[in-house]
Amino acid sequence: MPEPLLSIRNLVVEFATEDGIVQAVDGVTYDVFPGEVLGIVGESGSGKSVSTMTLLGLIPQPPGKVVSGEAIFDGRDLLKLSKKAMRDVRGSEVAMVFQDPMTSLNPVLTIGYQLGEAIKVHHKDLKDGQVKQKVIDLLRLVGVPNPERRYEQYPHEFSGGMRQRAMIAMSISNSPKLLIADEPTTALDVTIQAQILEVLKEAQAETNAATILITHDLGLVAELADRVLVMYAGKVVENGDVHTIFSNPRHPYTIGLMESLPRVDVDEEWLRPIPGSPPSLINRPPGCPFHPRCFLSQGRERCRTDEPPLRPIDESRHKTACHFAEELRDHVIGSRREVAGTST
Amino acid sequence: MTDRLHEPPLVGTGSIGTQPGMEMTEIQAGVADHTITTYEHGLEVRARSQWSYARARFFRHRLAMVGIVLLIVIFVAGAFAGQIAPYDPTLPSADITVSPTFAGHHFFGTDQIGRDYFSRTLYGIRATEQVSLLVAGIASLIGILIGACSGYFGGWIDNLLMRTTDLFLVVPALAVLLVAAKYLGHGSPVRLALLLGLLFWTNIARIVRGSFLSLKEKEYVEAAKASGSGNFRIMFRHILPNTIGPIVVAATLLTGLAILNESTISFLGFGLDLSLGTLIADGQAAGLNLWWLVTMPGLTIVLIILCVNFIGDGLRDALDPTQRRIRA
Amino acid sequence: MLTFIARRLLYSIPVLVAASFLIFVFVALSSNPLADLYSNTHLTPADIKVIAHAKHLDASVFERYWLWVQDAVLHKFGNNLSNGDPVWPNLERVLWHTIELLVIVLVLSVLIGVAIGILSAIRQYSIFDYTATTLSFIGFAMPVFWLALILQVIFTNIYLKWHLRIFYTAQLSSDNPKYWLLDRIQHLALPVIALCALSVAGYSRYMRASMLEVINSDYTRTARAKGLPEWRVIGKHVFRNALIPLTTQIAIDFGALFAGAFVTEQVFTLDGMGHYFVVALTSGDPYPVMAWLMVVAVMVIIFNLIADLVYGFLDPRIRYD
Repeated sequence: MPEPLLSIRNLVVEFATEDGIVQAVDGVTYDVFPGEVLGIVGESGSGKSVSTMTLLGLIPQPPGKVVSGEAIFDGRDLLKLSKKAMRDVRGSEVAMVFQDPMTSLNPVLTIGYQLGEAIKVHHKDLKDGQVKQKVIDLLRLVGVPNPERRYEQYPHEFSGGMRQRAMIAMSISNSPKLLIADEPTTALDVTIQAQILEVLKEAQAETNAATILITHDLGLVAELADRVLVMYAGKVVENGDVHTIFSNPRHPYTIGLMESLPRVDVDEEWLRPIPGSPPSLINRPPGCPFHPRCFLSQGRERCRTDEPPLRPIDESRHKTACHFAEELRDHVIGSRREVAGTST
Repeated sequence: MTDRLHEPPLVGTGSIGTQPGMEMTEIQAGVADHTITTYEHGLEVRARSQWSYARARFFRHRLAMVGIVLLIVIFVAGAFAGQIAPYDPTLPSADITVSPTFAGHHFFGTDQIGRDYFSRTLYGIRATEQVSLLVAGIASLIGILIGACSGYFGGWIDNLLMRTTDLFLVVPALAVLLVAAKYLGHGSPVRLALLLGLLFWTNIARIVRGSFLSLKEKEYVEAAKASGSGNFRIMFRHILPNTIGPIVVAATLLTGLAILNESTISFLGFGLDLSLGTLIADGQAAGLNLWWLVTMPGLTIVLIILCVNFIGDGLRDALDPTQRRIRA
Repeated sequence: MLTFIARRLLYSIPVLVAASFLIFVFVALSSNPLADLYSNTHLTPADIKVIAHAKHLDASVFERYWLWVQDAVLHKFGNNLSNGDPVWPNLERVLWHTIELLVIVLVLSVLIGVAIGILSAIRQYSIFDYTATTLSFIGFAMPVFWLALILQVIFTNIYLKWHLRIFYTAQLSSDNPKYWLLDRIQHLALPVIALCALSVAGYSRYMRASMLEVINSDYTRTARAKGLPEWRVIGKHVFRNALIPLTTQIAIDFGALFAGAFVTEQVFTLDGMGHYFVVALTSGDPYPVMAWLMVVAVMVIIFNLIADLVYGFLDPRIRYD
């Protein structure tokens, strides 16, 4: 197994709110290997964005606070970098694509300026002409038509899809080793999503950057990711290869996520959502965070008292955080109709 | 249900940040429940709890509490000026040009003909509070009526409101007030209050108009229409209670604005015969070496307006959390 | 750009016409310029009628309004009713004095207010921020005329006690100053301080609020994620965006600033618009009052036009076509 590019160990991030301390990320551990695409899946509020934002120091502090953990990237702990060293990492070695392209570009500066700035800040020796040429090449690469003219335009003259293309161009402008795409298609029109997906694939192929793809869209993960990390209530509940996770899920939450997807192969009248809602992150219940919504738990004492650790199952690279994961061995997705009836 | 029982975040004084839009809708929904489902026990309890959140938020706003206590003390002192004042405010005494002292009860000193400035200030407070409370009442009344009609019916009445507001932007209010005060309102608190009220209703009208524009599309208004309620009933029974929060905040801050304007007009000599503004003008005329004659009534104005603004701030946090205060 | 200005000026004509008519009806009907004549025992009612007829005071409102508009446009607002002096020369003089005061105050208070707002926002909840917040609360609560008077009291008493002339506390300039500029600064300093205190309190709050909003925006996060140093993030990405809402607010607050200048001039007996208006109003002559109101209306319209141009300069989403 190759050396991981990024390894996060026991990351804990808290936010101070008026109601109390919110533990947004609670002891998260995972690796990202060079060149791979890691999909992080979870509901909103599961801590998937916060855990990656923390890497670049982009959560507002206060109210946010990194309580413990480390994030070793290329031999350095990102959480302990000086401000100056962190700036050198941002945008150059680790770059981000954000969720909402409508608000993520500065409305009063031209697209060309904003992209050029991203290059110039890390390549001070480049001349203005060279930077401009590189920006135009990047825009062409991500499929922005007529890049010479688009260079001079402002974000409001771009459509949502075009803006996200520009954001992707910006993120790969310094050939980063790690690309973090935070819900890159969520804010876009469905017809545009497929195009952006293609652009992302191309960009990833072009730079061969390791990519963390944060999403709640399982389809996107199936399409792009090599490995999958499922997060729930600030914790990693399952992680493994994309094929393993999809064919052989070993956590009731992952199964719930998959079964909640509409299916075209079975004639169904209803969608099957996971009952209940995510727990409050302020007063965490003891035991497994998922047990109030879990079809396996069914009032079992252990689920309410013991917090299940993330442990290997079936093979070394497949891990789950469920006491009773073995019971899911022969579970067939969509077969739970009768069983599920009792928990709803 | 459990979510609703959660205390919405308390907003600190003077802090400005984006508030989740939830709170406004929660409060509005709560009030709406209150107005249409008084018969249903469970909903009634929930609605009342929304008001109790607002009350709790207000009482936790420390500056607003200080403000309200101080303002009550000042206004009660003004209202009972005739009983409290140690001297007659108009009669000269033997103590000529005494600087502020506790001896002889000349707390704010006396002027060059021996009139006690503490007593005069108390009477000034009385005039100022009469005018400002009247103005807030008159302006709210006009503003609510015109704003409600304008937002609910639209059409020419709405056009008239917006054009009038435009005109008020072009001509400075103070100049119009001075002309009106000189020829129409000189010397009478009620008439001066009427003039100020007739000029300052536009802000409240705009707020009410905006709320009516969005609320008239709500489902419960449709429901009320479908059940045969008349326009008047819908406007004042169903929609208006939901706009109370912003109106109360605007009316409070308007009280402060009225005090500032009244004292300015009086200071310039076109207002009342005895108000805080007049006292300051008298003090200036008496000579700048008698510093207390200018200072004491002025500090009283500053204190009153500080209190009013703190209360407005607290009310805004309590009733209207989406509107962040940046200026009185 | 030029067509935008031309169109804006064209649009403002109906507003001005409506404003002028309302001003005329309001002032002409509420004032009674003949009041003084009735108290004059040497004049009989018949004499007054003759005078009233000569001045067209017995005509209908619409007729008088039309005559007044002709006077205003063709003869620069005509003459005073009371002493027959032309209105415009005096009004023009005080207008420039007030503009001088307003421009100085606007420039200074925008600079200071923006600086305080930025510092408060990037050092949120620091001692500086709390101090600025407290001071601005007090600033909002102070009537301008009172602050002006307190400054006047302080510096007058300094002069009376120690014969120390730091600032003048009245008038716009001395009779024969040795150094004209220094003399002007000494005269204008106190009015400028009084007015700036009011404006700075407001502008710094707005700037702080809008800076905080921009600092927490998605595109500021993008700028940080690029690896830009913080001063560049603030200077290039936050600052300009934060100025946009401030511009609107300054335009809205212009009325309040003008009213402030009005009373400040009165306190320091500066030869400006405010002082002129109070004198004209006290004399009971409606013509200079109406001329004054019209000049101010034009001034407000021009100021709003300038604000719109600045707004468009800051925000590329606004286009002039």
